[in-house]
Amino acid sequence: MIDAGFESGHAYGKALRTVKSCVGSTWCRFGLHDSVSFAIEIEERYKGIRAPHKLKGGVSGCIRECAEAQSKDFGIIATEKGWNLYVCGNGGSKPQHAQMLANDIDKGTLVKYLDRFLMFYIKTADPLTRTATWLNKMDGGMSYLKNVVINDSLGLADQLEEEMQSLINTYHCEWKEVVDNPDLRKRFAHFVNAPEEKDPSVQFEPMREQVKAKW
Amino acid sequence: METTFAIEWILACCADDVPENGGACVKHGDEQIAVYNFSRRGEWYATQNMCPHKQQMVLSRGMIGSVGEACEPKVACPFHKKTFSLLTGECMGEDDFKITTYPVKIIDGKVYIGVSA
Repeated sequence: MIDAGFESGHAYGKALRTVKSCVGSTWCRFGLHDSVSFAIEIEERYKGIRAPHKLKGGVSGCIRECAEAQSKDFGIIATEKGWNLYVCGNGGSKPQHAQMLANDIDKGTLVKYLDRFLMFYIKTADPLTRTATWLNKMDGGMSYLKNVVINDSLGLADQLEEEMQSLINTYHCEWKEVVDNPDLRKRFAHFVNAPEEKDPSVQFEPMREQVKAKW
Repeated sequence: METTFAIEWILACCADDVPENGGACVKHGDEQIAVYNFSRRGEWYATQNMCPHKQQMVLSRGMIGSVGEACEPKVACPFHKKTFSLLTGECMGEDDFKITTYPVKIIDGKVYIGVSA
């Protein structure tokens, strides 16, 4: 799969997950902008970045919200004039809608705000805290967060952007690294003294023309 | 009355094969034994590889650390985070589990595990 150009989606990590999008203006009569391309750009930009907890994002091409961006840590929704940026949403067992950070901004500004927002979250949130919980516990809440990210009230904007850029610059696919490195691959053998043998306690059973492990 | 058990030392692997501050799984007949290189403390431990909670062969993949004033060494099962003492094998949570522990010695960079003969 590495040879075919696949990369890790980091589904196992406290990291950015793959960014969801609707089909957008390319395929949908209601699509205001190309949500697919923007989602891919965002995913390519922040892929692999580790955070206090997983980060889920979405991009919708209009307010009908087929990508459900408002239930994400960061959500982007196209408007006539640009894009709206929403942050600190959550799905799962405690759903919480994301709140609007900025509206009708262009892509460049949005990415800048996202850089600052994500870096601020990474640096200040407690371990294993999603963005929603982080915001709920934040003194001053959304207005404070807006001040920090948009108005640079803490004077951190340049630093946050630089730090984000250095994370982006140092990305490499950890999956590919293991596949290509025999020493790292050794760590994934079940028996250190019988590396070719599989774990006999793991049995597979067929299900829907696939196989699943019996837990 | 003292009961003694005869120990047989089996060659498991090279010390370098076990990651620092981590574990590796050794095949001994039909058994799976987890051996831990606790490099931070300069100590080696070994236990059964099977976590008694759901009978999964994963303890060698667990995170190791220590707890309490006495810094008792422990391993946490990666699946459901049950913790076991590396000294006594007892579960350190609320459950009644106990895992088998084995003595380990390192000679000339090779790991030997003491199993019952």
